[in-house]
Amino acid sequence: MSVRQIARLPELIGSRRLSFIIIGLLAAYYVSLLIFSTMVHPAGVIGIAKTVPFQVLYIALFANLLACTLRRTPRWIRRCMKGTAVADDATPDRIIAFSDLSREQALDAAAKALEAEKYSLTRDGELAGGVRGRFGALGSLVSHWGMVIVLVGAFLSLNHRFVGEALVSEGDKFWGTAREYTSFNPPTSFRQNAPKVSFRVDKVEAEFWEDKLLFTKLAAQMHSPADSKGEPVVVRINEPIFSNWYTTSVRLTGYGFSPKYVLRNDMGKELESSWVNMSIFPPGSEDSFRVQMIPHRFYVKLYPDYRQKEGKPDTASMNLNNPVFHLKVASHKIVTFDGLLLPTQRADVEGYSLAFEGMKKWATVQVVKDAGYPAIFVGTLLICIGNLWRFVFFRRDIVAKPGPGGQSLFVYCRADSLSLSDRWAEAPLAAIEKALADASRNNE
Amino acid sequence: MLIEKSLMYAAIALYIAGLGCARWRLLRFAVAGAFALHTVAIAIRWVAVGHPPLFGTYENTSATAWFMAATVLIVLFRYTGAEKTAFITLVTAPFLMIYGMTFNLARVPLTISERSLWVDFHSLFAGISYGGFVLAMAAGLLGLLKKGAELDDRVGFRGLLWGFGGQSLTLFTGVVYSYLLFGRMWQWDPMQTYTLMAWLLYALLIHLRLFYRWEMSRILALSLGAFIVVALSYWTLIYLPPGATFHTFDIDSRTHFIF
Repeated sequence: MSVRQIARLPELIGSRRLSFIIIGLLAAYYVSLLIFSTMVHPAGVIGIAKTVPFQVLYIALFANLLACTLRRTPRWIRRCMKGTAVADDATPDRIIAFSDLSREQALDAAAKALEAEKYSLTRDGELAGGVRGRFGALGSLVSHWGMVIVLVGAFLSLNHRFVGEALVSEGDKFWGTAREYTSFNPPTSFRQNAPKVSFRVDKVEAEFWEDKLLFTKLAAQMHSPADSKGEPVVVRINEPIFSNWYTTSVRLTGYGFSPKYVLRNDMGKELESSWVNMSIFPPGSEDSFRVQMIPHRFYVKLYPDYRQKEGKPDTASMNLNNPVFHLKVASHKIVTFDGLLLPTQRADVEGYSLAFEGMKKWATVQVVKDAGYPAIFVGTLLICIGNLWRFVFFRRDIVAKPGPGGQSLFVYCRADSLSLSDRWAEAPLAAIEKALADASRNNE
Repeated sequence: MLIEKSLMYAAIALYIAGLGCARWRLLRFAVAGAFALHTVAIAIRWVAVGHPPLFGTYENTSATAWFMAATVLIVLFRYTGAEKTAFITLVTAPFLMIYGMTFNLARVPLTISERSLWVDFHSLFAGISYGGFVLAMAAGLLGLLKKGAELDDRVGFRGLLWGFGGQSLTLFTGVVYSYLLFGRMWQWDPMQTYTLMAWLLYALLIHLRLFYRWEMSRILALSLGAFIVVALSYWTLIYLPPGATFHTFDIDSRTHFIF
């Protein structure tokens, strides 16, 4: 490769042609992803999207975008500084005749009209011109830098993201240690990746619509950090707590019940009791636990709003209005108890009795550390602002020059090709016509 | 529900009647009348369900048709001479509404994952962008059939820019909400993939106009391809296998075939 070719490399990387090729390849890549998304689980699609060929494509996009943006930034800035001008061979958009006015007076009147229309003026002996939306080109600058920031954010998110799930009961504290998480990803280098976060779950509240499993409320009252006092923060499924410059979030993702079992001997003496986090919600789900003293396994189902339906136990709603447990006790595949249990009742099992004497809720909490989020938030916002800026505050130029003979003005109107209006020239042209007519009348 | 359904049917009938009008002036009044009835039907449902009716195929088709009709009204009342573009823009709206009404119309409250202003604005911008893109598609179709005038191209290109701006905002609100809800900004959900693909294709077309000064009619004709992607993203998700996307909000998981 010659020195000249190497010198041209940035130009090649930032070329429009390469941009179009990359966008074309990306479109083809998305078609393949769409086909995969009909065939594999969503998690599989995410996995495919992370494979090397696609990463190469994104790196190429980033390089191209960065080179393009760097190359064009001075041009966009120069365009903002550029004054009004009209090409010599341009065709006038309107010819406005006037009488009883000198060329100078006509140009002055046109300049005043443009000024009244909020155009910044250029006035010399030969023309009166005005510009609006001079900084419209900055929209492109903002949106393209926004895209660069988005890609940087995506890179940070792909390579430095931590997600952990934890199960925390009402009244319990979470200090962010590895053993408190039920799972976390990436599974290695916990100390390096995990965020410093702590919280306390005070209360979990859930409400449902009719008897359907359709949440109309799922919220947890929390304190973060765990030892903090004062008013709790309400965390919802779509309203996490943010910390560390919006890079760390803690959100509620689900909930369940922790019944408190009490094991007694035949004399009624309490032998053992504990809260046990169980997956017995939604109704119909069965979970089991063991206690230390006896070899039995306790299988539990919950009817949160118990009723009989066609002679069978059922729940009227998902709300905890009238909880009844279905308990099955088994030892070595021999069932020793199988029946319904109210919170006040005991199940007798071979000289022992077990009762559920309390119930609290637990929350599944997701902790995410993602340094890419603030960058992507800012980047996508800049893309939107930049686009709308360019389309709404587009550059428009108006130039009035005396026509041949000196009794008419040739008016030229030019606007950015990316504008949301094509009737923008009507008002300034009407204003110039009116100004000339008024000036003629005054001269009479 | 009866009033809402009656208003919807009346609006559909009036939209179709408008399409059958021999004069543009009559089309204008028919669309305005149908739009008013449609707006009242949407308002009634909004009050009844307590959220903007934008979820599930029935509400989604109704809202999208409303945005299309609003776009048509703007064109009809603002641009004399671009009626053909407005006409084509409107063509699918009443049939979209009929299609939507074959789904479950039950009034269901939103689940907590859908209750957010972010979601409302996300849908609002999506509706605006769809209206713009349909307008661009209509102008592109007219151009291909050699029936369009310069004004149709200009109106269509404005539609494309509106659509692109609206879609950028849809992406922004979607990305933010996805992070709030799932802790992940992008999940390669089919809807996200379709939208990103369409956004890139429209961006490509805008750059072709900007850098190579391609004629609007050519850009609009090419935008038909991008519009197919947009239309697929709106109307095919419900036919994907269950669990493939989180962008379906129908309370019944039946697969509906209109054929």
